[in-house]
Amino acid sequence: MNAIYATAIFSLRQRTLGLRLLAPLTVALLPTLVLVMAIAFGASVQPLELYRQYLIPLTLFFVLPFVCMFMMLPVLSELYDRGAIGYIYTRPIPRWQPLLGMFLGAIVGMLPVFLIGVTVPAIICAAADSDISIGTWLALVGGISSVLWIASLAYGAICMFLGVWSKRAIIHAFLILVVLGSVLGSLPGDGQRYSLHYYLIGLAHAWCGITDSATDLFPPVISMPSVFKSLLVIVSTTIVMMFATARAAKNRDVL
Amino acid sequence: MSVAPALRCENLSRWYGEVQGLAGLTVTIEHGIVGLLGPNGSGKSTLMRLLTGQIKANRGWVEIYGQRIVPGTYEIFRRVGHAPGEDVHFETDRAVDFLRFMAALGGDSTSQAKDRAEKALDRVGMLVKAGVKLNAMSKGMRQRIKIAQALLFEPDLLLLDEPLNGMDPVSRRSTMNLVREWAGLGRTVIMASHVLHEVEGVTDRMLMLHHGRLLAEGRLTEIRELIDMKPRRASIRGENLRVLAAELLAQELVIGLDFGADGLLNLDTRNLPALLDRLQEAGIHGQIHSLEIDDQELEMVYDLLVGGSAR
Repeated sequence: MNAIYATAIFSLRQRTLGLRLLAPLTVALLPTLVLVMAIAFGASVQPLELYRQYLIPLTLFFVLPFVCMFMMLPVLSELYDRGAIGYIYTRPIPRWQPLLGMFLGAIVGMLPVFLIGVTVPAIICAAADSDISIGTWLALVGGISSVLWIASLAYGAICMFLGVWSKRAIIHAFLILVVLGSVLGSLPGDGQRYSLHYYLIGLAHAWCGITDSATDLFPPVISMPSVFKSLLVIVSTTIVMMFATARAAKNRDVL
Repeated sequence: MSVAPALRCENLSRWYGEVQGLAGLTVTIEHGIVGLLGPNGSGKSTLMRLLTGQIKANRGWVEIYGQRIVPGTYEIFRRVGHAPGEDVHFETDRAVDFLRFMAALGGDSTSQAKDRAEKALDRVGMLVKAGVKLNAMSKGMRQRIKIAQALLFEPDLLLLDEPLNGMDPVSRRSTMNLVREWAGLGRTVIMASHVLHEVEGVTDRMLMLHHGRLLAEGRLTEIRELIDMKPRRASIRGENLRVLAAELLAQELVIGLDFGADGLLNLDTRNLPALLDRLQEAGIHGQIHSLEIDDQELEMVYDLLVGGSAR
């Protein structure tokens, strides 16, 4: 347990100290910029709907995969590239322990990024439309934050796996998170079911009031998955990918 | 004390693509200090990585204290301390934090890790620098920090890869003393270096690697016999050197010769003592005015040995 805790703290420090949060924070705040411009240019849509129909899909389909890649891919690949992983792998502990610790540390490091990305625009929208109660905004921010956090477990685990398994982790992560995740998940049809994003839409439907029909930036969903099914798929993916990561780490050379 | 030898390798081989890192190394080390000698790229670091489970062997196997190192092995590393040849890669950490992290990875609680880190720093004389960040330290200091992390859990087998690189003379001496003291407690130290006299300062037992192969193994005295088999060069100035050269060739005391500038005669021999006896005789008769023998520094002789095998 000490090893998991120590590597979690190490990983959290590595991911959040200095200017390392600059890129993920910039990505996380891009939808806010779009939203501010829409309000500034007098969009006909109410701020609450702007948030629900533009900001949430932009966050799910654009911010989520890129923040995951920024935050999770270097967790291990950086240590491999710098040769630092040798120090960790020569300790008398099974390799899954530091891997789990680094995963948890990086996941915790992502929370403030997502929280800032969804809270700042909510504050702006609330200021622009004072008729909506604070409770409504809190529920919406809490809902989308939860979706993002749960999604980051699965996508983070995929990135961790790729960081160990692949020497071209960035390319593979782009294919899986962006192409297979965001793009396939936003295309109507049965193929949507093979994207993790399909299940994120299921959670967003239940927790943020997103409908199953196409509304502005949201793709149509033929058959909305239940919360249970969505959580099952996402948690299962996380567990499977972490096992795969441990397996890959066990067999991979440090070079 | 363990009955099993500290280290056993059998036909241990590793390739990096088509490049041979280590080829068929078979060796047993019981205990004590062993120098692992070889030029850069000879396979020293590859062997260290194989011993610590960082890379897998393509062929053969390695055992540490009787336990075979296979993917997933980790318990045995409680008895192994490793200071890698590469620089420390936790640059933004303070020395004490880096060591605490390493100690925690070994299972220590926060307070245990702190105590252990400070003890290890003290052992390498770096306790006063505990709060200094690694990127603010000289290379020699970082080398000592690496050794400190290797010593954290009082390992029975200590693997040091080029530990004296970048160290000042005082640090070198204290590190060499530390290695000797460590082995004096019945433990085993394998110290890799590409400089013969560094290893000679702590032990006379050596393994010499070249192009991934075991070039020589044994005590320095035995290796010196091998060294003496290698061609050496003597350069002389004097009178009637052509007559002397013909005589030396006829007596098979030299295997090659050439005349250099200013009447210098270079003689290559495999039997330097016999050649020197003959030249001394000629010198007594006033035939030879000056004699120079190639540098006797062990490092040079070692290079000669490696060069000979390469040809």
